[in-house]
Amino acid sequence: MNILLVCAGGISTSFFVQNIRQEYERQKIEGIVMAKSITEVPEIIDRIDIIFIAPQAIFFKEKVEKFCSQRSIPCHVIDSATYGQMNGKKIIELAKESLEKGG
Amino acid sequence: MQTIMKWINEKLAPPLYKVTSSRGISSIMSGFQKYMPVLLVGAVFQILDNVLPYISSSLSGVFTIPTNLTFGFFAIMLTYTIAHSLAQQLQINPITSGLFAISVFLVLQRPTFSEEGNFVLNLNRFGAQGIFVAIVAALITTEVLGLFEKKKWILRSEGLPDFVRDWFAPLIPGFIIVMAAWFVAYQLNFDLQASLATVIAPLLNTSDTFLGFMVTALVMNVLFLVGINPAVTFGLFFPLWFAAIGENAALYAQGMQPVHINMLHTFAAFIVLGGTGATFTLNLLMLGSKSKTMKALGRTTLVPSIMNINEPLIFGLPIAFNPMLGIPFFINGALINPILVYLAMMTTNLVNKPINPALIPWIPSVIQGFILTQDFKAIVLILVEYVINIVVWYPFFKAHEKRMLDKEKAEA
Repeated sequence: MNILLVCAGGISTSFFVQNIRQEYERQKIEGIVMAKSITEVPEIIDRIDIIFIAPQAIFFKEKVEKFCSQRSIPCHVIDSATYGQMNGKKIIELAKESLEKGG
Repeated sequence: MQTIMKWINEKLAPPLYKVTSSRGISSIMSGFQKYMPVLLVGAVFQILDNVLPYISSSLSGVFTIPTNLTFGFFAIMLTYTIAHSLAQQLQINPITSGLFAISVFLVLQRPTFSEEGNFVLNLNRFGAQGIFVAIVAALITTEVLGLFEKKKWILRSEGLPDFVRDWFAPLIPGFIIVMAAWFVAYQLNFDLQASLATVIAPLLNTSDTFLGFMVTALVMNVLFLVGINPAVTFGLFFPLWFAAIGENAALYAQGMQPVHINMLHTFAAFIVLGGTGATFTLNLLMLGSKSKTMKALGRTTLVPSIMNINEPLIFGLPIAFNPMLGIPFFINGALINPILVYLAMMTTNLVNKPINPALIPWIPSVIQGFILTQDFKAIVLILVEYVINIVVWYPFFKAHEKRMLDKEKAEA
């Protein structure tokens, strides 16, 4: 399962990514977790299964959705509480749920 | 409040994002980012060059040449990286675009050739002062190459290997663009850098006034408070900021007083303490909070806060859309810290102005402040800011804590 987190600069989400990676190890999930800025999305989208957008980057939702719909990749905005606590477990649950629904 | 938010979401944010995510602005931003590794090496050389003479006077000026050939070559390297970024967006060959852009940049800077064959061009034209010429050269060159490619106004070489095609395809636009630059620079005798400087210099001077500085701080905080990360506007302002720090560095190297203060470097090291709104001291208060939720959140957000990243804190506590915490956020970030910094650096000259080009917002403020100014008094300034920030945060923190405790009790 390859997860991409998107924010304006890809900086603040990189802390969140570390939490998710730790959770990946704990749960022995295979795949990559990345944080990128909005401008880098087209470069890597082909390697991604699901995209999460940080709450502060909600303005980019439409732009990201455009990329996603061409490739039928799900994309969601992270709610403020999950983002603030950098709750990696929650994100993994959401990702699994979303991907199962789609597949 | 609701109407304001609606107006921002529907009227202000979309056009702002449209401009900043336009391919021109976003390739300027990404061009700057691609140059950063060389800039940081230049910054290390500059620190050595400034610090070593204190150890022994014989070490004075030892590292001037490596500094000049890394940070001092800012503009020409930026020409390449911006053209490279734009070409990637236009899906044309990025290396070809970058190389043509360098040629155009050099021609526009009007070097002369002496009889002995020496290439003569003032170093300042390669450096921070040449940034605006670099941007013009990179954007125009790449856009022209892209246009010719799109319209298929290129030499066909069907049936020939791909690499031959890559050689000949840009022949026509490449010729035209270098020719045009030469005509403008040498035949029309037009000095682009000097012309642009007449526009840029007043801009920089206005931004360095007290009013200019406070307005910058205000805009950054307001944007952040309503959920727009000011980082999205950086592509627009990077050129100005680096022109300012470049001039400061050059003045300092000549033993003169730096003059500029309004640049991202200053904000990153001295104003955004813990992130926009100066939330570092708030995070410290949270660590000792009686509310379990706030204490746990404070632990999670501490490391990001040390590195001046507070989005988790902003959305977790939350500060976003929370007027009670918005007030101290604003008082600290938009008023107290900018006023203190302006007083210390501009009005009284107590603390040295920024002279080091390294832009490293994500290391602890005190280290950043020292590297940036190479002045120990910078650390004192930041500590003073911390003390005042924590005093301002405290009553609002307590009020929020009370609300959280009530909520926790109700849930228990």
